[in-house]
Amino acid sequence: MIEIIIGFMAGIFTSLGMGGGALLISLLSSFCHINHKIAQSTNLLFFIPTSLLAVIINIKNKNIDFKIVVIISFFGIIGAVLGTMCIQIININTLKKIFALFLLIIAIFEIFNFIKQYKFDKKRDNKNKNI
Amino acid sequence: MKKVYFIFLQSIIGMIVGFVSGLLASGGGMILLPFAIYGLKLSQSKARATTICCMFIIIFFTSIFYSNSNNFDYGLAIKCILGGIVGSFLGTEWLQKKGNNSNFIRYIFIAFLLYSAFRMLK
Repeated sequence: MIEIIIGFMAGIFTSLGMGGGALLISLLSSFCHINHKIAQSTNLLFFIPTSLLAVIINIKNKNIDFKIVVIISFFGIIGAVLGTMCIQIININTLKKIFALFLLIIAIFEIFNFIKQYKFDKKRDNKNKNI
Repeated sequence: MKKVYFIFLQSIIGMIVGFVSGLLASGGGMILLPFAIYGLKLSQSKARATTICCMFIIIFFTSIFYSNSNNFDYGLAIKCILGGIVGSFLGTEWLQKKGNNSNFIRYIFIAFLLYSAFRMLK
């Protein structure tokens, strides 16, 4: 049951455009004590059906720039091969530490974004007052 | 000349995104989206659409590479996916009704990230 609730929360965050994947992995790994590598592969499987709908809708709306998609995903697949090679060498504790650092970077980035948005909103509100 | 430069930039970013999604299985989109908006100067909606399409292809292949290493738990994945489909459906509905005014959720998200990062580093 708890897995369904975690998936539900990750789904909400994904659709709001925040890192649902990071949320899913850290909840599964550090709160449900599931093996970190299994948590990661679960996130991969989770991503495919939940994003498929978004991809189809965007193809229909002709929103996708396919030239960019071809280049980035071609080199992305090469990078993914290297990444999966690394994961087989690294042990779980090191991987967890790397993941934690990655979460910290996302958090700092989000705070930075938040401040930027706040300043932008304030400026806009001041302009509206003057008018 | 400028075109060559852009293609070069895209291939480098593609490599980085692929490496991160292979190693950490998440966060590729968080690197790619700012690049698409600020680097490639795409509009918000186009950048989001292109990002999700790239990530779909990259994650699809990553999970094929992963499946060789026997790290899959399909029962767990199906449970999460069931919750995830309901969650993303409700989230999208909510987004359309209230607009992108989700400051409160952002606070929770940042707090949660910091908390679980420190928990894992300990």
